Amino acid sequence: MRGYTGKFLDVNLSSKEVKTFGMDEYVLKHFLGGDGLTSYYLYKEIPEGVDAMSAENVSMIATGPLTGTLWPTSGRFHIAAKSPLTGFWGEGNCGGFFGPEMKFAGFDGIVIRGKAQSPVFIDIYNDNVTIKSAEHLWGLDTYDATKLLLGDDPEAQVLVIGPSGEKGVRFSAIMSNFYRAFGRSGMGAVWGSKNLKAVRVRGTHGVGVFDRENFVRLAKEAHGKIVNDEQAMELRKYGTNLLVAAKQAIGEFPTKNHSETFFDGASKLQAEYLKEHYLGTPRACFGCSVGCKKIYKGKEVTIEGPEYEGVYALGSNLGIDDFDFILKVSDYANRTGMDHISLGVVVSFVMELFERNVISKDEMDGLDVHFGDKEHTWELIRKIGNNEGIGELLALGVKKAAEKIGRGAEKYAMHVKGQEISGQDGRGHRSVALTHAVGARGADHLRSLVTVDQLGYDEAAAKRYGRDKLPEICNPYTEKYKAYAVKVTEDVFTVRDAAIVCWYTMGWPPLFWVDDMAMILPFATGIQDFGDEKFLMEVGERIVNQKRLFNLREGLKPSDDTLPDRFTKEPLPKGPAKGQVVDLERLLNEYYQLRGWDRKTGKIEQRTLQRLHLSE
Amino acid sequence: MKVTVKFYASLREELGIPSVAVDAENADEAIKILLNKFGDKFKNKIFDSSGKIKAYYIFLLNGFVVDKHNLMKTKLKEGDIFHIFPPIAGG
Repeated sequence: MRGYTGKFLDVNLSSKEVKTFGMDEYVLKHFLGGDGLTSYYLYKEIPEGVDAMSAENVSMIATGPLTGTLWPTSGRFHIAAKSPLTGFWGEGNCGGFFGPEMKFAGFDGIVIRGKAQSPVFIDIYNDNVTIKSAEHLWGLDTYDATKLLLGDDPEAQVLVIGPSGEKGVRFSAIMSNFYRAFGRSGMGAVWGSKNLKAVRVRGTHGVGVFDRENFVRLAKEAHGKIVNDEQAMELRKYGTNLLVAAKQAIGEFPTKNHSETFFDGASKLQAEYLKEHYLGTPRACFGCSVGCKKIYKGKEVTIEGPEYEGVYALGSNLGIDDFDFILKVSDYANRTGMDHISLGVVVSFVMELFERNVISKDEMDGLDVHFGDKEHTWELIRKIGNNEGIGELLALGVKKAAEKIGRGAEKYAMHVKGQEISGQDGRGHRSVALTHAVGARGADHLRSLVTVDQLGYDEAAAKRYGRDKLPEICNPYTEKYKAYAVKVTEDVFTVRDAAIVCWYTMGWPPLFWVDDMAMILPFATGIQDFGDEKFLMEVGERIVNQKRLFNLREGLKPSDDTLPDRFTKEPLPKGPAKGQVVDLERLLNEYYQLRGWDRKTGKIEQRTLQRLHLSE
Repeated sequence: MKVTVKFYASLREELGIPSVAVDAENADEAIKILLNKFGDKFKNKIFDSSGKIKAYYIFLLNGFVVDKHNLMKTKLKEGDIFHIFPPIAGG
């Protein structure tokens, strides 16, 4: 079998034991890679009810059969563990170069368990794997730690946590190539709790494919398709901040803790303005012909990013239209290793509490944090990164912080399952309401984001979901067909995250879809079943359900698949979606039915488990 | 009806201005005015070689998606904002 290296590394930080193991063909065939292999393996390996910040939690990095190959955007890799932010399934998916390098070293992934007695990093050079002291790295920010690690071997790739991960900030990220992140659900905090500062990898092998001639032919065609695609061209030139103007126009640019979706300062955050004033030089990940990343040159810092989600979370969401300030905060979040989205939402949460007099200036350590304020906001953000004072409370995330504050603070905590909500709003884009509500890792936009009801791609909707579902499926203000669209998209995107390729070729409008995966995966792996679209869709469905099993074991209830009341009870105050709220009950009823889940218990029905060859 | 047409991303770059005022009764007429005003610069960005509006170009009227296949049916009112975006989506 090709596409895979056939080996996983297993590192026990408590016993310092290093082993390797292989996944058998049945597992590879039924879970594919990346997102699938982590969901399968960690369900077995993470004990029920374990403290996510304890030695018993297991962190697993995994690639897919396309990672590191010539297929475009194959630089991505996956990580998962129990989330210290949500207490449920945690995962991240990152671009850059580490994933391919790990395969070049001969590993499809790394399982990390236990806890080191003192700070360590894992050093991998092909088969040579050692656990080394990281005493000299502990306390350093991610940039400095990365530079030190690359100083020994500039050709290596590094994953690293920052001080916030060391100090247990629950939404800490793992950073790669300075600016790329496993941002969501606190994977950096898991590493910090294990005294693991970094993993450095260097490999000198290649990645073999099953049918080289056909694989190269299709990969070449795929690169050509991207190079000539107008959406890819726009992303290359402007990056994901193109979304700012579009979302402002349709009234879906979350503002001031999701209380509005129209931001008066949007024109200073939109991509055209940023390109004119901050350059936005393009950069790409491994094997990518899109090149959506941008280097912005600000007054104080020059960094890659932030992208749309960072601009939303640290900009409109805080009522701030100063991109230099956003750059400064983004740089700080990168250095300390914090998720931009969660960081922005914990700050907007406390801003709203302060403006509504739910929390006092004394409780805020004397900070006067209003929407639009920069001076006190900067101080607050530094306190969160340092996990000190009011920052210690907010470092728990909005759900736990709201529970501790009480006094009705929960009403203003924008999260699902404990994870802070990303830059969409289901009131003006109905399908994403369900996407946020049912995500295994909590409020998430990347696992099933449907955009045909955002910007009206009727041709794509007809092709991917069926012409019979037009026009309702493209209507942003009706629930009709949205559960179907989310379910199908979630299954396809799960295949994407298992293969693994980037969102920006299998997002919307999609350059590639599951039929393209069915073409390329047999040439990559030699597994002929992957050539059957139905088989692949079932792989996606199986992975979604495997993560559901994990969450159910951790106590998930149907009531956890929900949204803050703001989205279901507070009509939007202005913009095209004025007056809109979400009928979440209808969306959930239809989604549960399509998934084969019991609406009363939230459990997976036996017939669904049997069909997908899963067991509790 | 005097309406404002706003351009974004590479379309804005190509035309050299962020917006223009046009006087039109419906979206089809507005597009024809833009074709006259900007010529091939506009035509080549918006239309494919067969003369059809390119798939995935986005037309919005006051934030609502416009049916590109029935532009004449999209009536304009004084003060309307008509947005034209190149292909884009996501979150």
